[in-house]
Amino acid sequence: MESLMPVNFSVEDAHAAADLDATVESPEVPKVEELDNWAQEAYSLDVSAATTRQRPWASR
Amino acid sequence: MFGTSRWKDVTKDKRTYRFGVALRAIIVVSDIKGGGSLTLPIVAAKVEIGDARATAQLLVRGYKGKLAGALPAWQTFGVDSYAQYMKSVSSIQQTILDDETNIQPELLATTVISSTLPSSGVSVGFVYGLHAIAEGSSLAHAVEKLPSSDAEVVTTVRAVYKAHIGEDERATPDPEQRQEAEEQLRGLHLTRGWFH
Repeated sequence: MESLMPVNFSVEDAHAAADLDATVESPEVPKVEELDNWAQEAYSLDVSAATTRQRPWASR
Repeated sequence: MFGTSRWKDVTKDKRTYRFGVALRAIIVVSDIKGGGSLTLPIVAAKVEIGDARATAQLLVRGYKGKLAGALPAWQTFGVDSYAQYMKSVSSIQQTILDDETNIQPELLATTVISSTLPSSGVSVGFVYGLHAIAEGSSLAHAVEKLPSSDAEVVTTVRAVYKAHIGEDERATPDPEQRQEAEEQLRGLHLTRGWFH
């Protein structure tokens, strides 16, 4: 199964970012009462993992 | 990062779109001293005693109601501020998930974008390979130092070397090849001395 990529933009922007044809139809947005999945996430990080690369992709 | 969401996945033309309402809080920690697990209370304690710095970003999507009064008063991420921040976030979370009249589902995630991205193995292998070339390492040495045995990463590193250096695993990159790899990294740099 393909993984879902979190986004902060609209369906139209996602289609444009993926170079999809402009004729690709957008899905119908579900109604509030149809939102039937709930999730709560929390992540923690170990200092050793956080500091291994220090400035992960910093410029020289 | 922590967050809460309420959503529904919609599939159309083999593409999946996740619509809903979500709250995400991202805490960015820097200049950490000491070791151990980085849970939020520990981050707050480290900030309090000057052993870390932290900034926060709060993102709400799919909610059109007013939240200005509920937003946390952000100062520093010390122990007291942390407690206040978490209280505010919990309050916003309850508001946006319960207030159905102001929920306006928005796109939260989709496979439309992910299908166009290379896998993480290819991405890691490509950057590692370029960095190894820029550092003057031979393919044999780079593979030996590779901290992963993931086949896709190794295959990608080999492909990067083949494209830039050629077939000889023992050949070291010349200055021009190193410079070219450096330019392709566009300033990105692995700070750990992998190849020394």
